[in-house]
Amino acid sequence: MSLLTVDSLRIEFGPTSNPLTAVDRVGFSIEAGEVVGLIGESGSGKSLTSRAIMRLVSYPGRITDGSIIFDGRSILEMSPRELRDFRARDVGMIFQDPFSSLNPVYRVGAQLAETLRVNAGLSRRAARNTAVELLDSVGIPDAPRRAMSYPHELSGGMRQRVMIAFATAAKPRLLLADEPTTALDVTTQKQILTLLSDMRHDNTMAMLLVSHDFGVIAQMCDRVVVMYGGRIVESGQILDVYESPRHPYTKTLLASVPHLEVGERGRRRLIPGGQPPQPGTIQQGCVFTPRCSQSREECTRVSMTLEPPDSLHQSACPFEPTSVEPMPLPLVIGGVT
Amino acid sequence: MRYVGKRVLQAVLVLWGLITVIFFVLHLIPGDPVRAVLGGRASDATVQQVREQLGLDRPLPEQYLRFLTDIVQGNLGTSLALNDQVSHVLGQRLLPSILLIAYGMFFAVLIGVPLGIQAALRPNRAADHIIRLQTTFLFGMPTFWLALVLALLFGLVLGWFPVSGYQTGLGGILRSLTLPALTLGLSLVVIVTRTLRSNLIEVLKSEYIEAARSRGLSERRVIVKHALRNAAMPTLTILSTIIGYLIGSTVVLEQVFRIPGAGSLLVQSILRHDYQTVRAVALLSGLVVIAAGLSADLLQAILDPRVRLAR
Amino acid sequence: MRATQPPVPVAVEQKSFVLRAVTSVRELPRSVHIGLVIVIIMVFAAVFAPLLAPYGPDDLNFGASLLPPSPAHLMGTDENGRDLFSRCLYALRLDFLVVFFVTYVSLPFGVVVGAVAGYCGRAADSVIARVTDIMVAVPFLVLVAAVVAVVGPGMTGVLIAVPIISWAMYARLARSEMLVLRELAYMDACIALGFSRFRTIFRHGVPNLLRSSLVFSTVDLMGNLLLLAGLSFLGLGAQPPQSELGAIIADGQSYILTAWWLATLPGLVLVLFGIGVGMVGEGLSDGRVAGRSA
Repeated sequence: MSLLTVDSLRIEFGPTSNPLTAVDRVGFSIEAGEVVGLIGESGSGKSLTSRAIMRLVSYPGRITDGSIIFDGRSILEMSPRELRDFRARDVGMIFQDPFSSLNPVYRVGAQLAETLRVNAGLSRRAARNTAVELLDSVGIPDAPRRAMSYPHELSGGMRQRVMIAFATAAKPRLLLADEPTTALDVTTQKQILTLLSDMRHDNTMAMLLVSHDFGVIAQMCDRVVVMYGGRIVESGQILDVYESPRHPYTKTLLASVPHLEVGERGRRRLIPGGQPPQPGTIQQGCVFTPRCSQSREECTRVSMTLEPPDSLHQSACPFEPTSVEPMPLPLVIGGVT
Repeated sequence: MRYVGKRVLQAVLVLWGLITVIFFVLHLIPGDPVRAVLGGRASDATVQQVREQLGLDRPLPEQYLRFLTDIVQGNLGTSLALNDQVSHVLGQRLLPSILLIAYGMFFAVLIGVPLGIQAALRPNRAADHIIRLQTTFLFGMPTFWLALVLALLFGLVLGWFPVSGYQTGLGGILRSLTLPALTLGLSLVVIVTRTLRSNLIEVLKSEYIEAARSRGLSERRVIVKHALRNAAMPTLTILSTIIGYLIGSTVVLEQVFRIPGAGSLLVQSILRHDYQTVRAVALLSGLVVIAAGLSADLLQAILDPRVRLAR
Repeated sequence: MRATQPPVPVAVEQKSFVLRAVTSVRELPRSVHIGLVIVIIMVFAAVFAPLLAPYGPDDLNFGASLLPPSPAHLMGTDENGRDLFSRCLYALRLDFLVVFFVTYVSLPFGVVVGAVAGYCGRAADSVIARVTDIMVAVPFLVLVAAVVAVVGPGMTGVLIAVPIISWAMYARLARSEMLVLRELAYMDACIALGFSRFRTIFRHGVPNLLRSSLVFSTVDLMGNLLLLAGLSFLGLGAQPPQSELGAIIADGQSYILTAWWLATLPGLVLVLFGIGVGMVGEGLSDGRVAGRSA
């Protein structure tokens, strides 16, 4: 059985009578110890999906359909008490912006110690010591002194390290990383990714890595799930998707990355045909149709099911890729092979 | 520490400016305070004599310097009308006013904080609607009218509290100040709830709140320890800026409830043309406002580590 | 820019502006409409008080003193038999007139000082900034009361005292707006075109920062109305026999046990007006609407 199974998840906003659907019929699973990437443009619903796993979708958003099963337990049906235990022990989360995900008015050591006291029931003193050890373990130099710092006194990379210490303190079986490196500069990005991959190997932790950056995903992940307009358009082993993308959106996404080199975030060209769709009412057919270079008449009627059903490499486009320009193959994909 | 020093220095400068402004505003406005206090029947010679006695015949810069040095030495001058030291007169009237303001603030916090929190946590529910209603109703409500209505209701109809006068001793203070303080509190509640509500909503949206939740901290802990403290700071700043308004309301309320405080002293002094006392009360109330702003900023520096460096 | 446009498009644009204004009023929440109706009716009643009032404000009738509200006397009568409703209408007229005057005397003065200070910067700016800091520091009512103390109680005192203090708030507002405006490209363009400082500030700067001051002045109007009523209540504003709402309430205070309407009903007039203004303000500050108009 998978560690995490998300099935036909739907997240809606706005009035109940006329809801705006931001995520629709999203389903995927993560095995124990596996790293799965969730990729898509901003507004594709990828962050929302990762938040739903923590049940952090807040008003006015709400989960209206689907199920999320973690280790046999349904997250959406947990009582507040169970949910707290689940968040405290089983899963950790890292956010995009380390500048705003730490409470500015408390010292980082104190914040970390608070979590340890509340969640692991440590004494004040033990919590302090463990907090310093944790900071040390995520590679923060001079941890005892740094524990006394306020968040604004730390650099972005340091803060993200602190966040990783928070998220991994309870040795969770699953780590959700929502754009963990987007707010950081290139060299720091690389360090944080290395740290994440070390933490993962040391603790045999599964990870859901949300990113819009194929380079990051390619470096870190075993499998990738591609989202567009609140739907999954393609999923598969990273190399399969990479070398033979089957959905036109994935193709354009890959083509818009000029150089896929680890640690370098190339300037992505805009995908032709305008902006990604806003959350809205569910439409007939494929959500990518308006921007798809290969759209045909049937596209407004297809059902967007992931095919073939039992395959590792699935695509929501029913038409086999006929043509298209030859994909510029990447020169280096670090960390994968 | 440097921030504290800078901020204190700034407050002192504003205070000096305040003294200057009060001096010049009162001196440059047409009108003869001496003639006013002595009345039309006083002879020119008497007026001249009193002017000399007060130093009002000296050149303006010299008067200003004397005024400044007197104040630094704590000498607020002599009240012509009462024939007494202004500092002495004022000193006797301070306690009721201070108690009234503190008691009023207590009511404002007691009613406003839970209401603001409820409204922020459950938008568009009961507490939220109450806030909208009170904003609409209290916006144009004169404090003195609210005081009269409360006095009519709780004092005269229900007979729970006396409607005028001031009593000493804890029981007496509670009895005589509850109605005016409640009025003051009610007129403040709008501001407290609204700022707290909007600040709290802002804070609750921030990522560190989500991060705290994602760590499995209880909702209660997230709100009390992580959200409220961050939302309290801007609310405090707002409270410190409305202290001036509070003092204005106190003046009116002391008049309605016949409380012998500094506010009613101000009104009596104006009607008596006791210009020295008026000046002293204006100065003192300015001092209170400046001190309140200073302490709010310093408190914020203690509560929020960013402030110490950022400014 | 306006000068270079041919006259016809200007006319069209003006018409569409009016149309836009009408439609945007229509789109506002219902509370704004109710508020507007309240405010308009009350201003109308105040302006036409002499036509609407059933009695003169000072018509004495000792045979009809301290009568409770009735169809003949909508709000009852006072100890001298004066009709409270008529007095309130005249009082509203006086209140509005005085408040309008003091507010819109302070506004242009403050805006000019603030704009010049903000634009010129340097010493002038720091001096103005500090002076306004100080003016804002002192409790408004206390400072006005202090000025009244020198000028002497009465409406003259209020008319002098309020503008002396309240220009500072407009100056502060205009200065902070100008500090932002000064950095914008079109202000630089004015200098590049060789416009005089005067022209740059007043023709191109002030019109753009006026909006926020005008918005603030609506709140200020309400504040000044309450201030005037408060001062009169304390006996520092309107003097008898002038009818002014605060003064009427102060008179009624002595009869609160025997004739409750004397002190309470005139206050309701103020409260009603406050509700009207409040509903308009609340509706307009609603995020939805603000987003649309921005």
